[in-house]
Amino acid sequence: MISVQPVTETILALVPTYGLPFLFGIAVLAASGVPVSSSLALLVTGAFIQIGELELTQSFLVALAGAVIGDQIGYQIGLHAGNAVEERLVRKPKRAAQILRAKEFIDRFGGVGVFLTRWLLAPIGPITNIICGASDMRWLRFTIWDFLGEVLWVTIYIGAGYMFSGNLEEIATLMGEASWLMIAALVALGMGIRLLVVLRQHRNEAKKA
Amino acid sequence: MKKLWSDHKLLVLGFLAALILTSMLFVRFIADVVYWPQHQDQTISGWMTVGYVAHSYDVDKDKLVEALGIETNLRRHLTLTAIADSQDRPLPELRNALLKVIIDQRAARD
Repeated sequence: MISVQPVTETILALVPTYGLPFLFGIAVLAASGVPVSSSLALLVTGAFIQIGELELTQSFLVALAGAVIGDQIGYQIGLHAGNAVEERLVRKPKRAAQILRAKEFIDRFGGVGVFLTRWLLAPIGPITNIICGASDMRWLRFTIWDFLGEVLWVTIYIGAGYMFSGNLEEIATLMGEASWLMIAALVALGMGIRLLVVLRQHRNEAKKA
Repeated sequence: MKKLWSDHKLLVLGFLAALILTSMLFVRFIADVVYWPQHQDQTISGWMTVGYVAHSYDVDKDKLVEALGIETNLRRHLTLTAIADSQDRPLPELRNALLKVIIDQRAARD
């Protein structure tokens, strides 16, 4: 935790010092996969809106634009890198089948996945962009769900910063912890469901035998 | 059950690991939520602006500006670190000056 502190301090200080250009920059970088905390920057922004040192509408639009542009960068990286990787992998039939299954999965749940990884599961947002690009998710579908999710993300984080403006460092810690908790819980849930399915298959096989 | 273990070791282990991780994160989260209200006053840090300190400690901003001896319209949102640098004095000194005003103001109000 100690090594994280200076980075946190720096982000906290950069918001009042450079304002909106900084907010835009960090939103683009974070969304396109650079490990910087744009959520923290948004919380600080919310607090500075509350005390009247930043303006709400401007900050909201700038953060939203930055995040959406960053997501597009991630999607494009996935799209281009993905095609190159896929061409090699498809040569093996087993891999080709796996890729097909992954694509079917994203085709079914991709939209909601993009939406949820913008705000509820924000830490895995950047990797989701790349996966969506790599699996040739339709651009318009990606962009619409992305936009809606990012609107919620900006609203929630600016709102939280605004409401808890006197306790920024604490609320930042709590929200970070909450997102990771949610991700871990979802992974556990997914694996649990998979286990149950496998268990039922075994029982059915046992009955038949 | 035995068959499940022998056929799907990775899945079972992965599930257990995810379950343990989730529980740990949950406990930490709850602990931090419970711990939170005891920390009403944030420590004055270098990233804060004078306006932020005034808001966080619920005191008059102008009094703080006055105490630090900065010109009000010089630049709007200087952080305390930037103010300390421009005045060539250490941040702790600035912090003490602010705390003195805060304590005085709170005492005057009570």
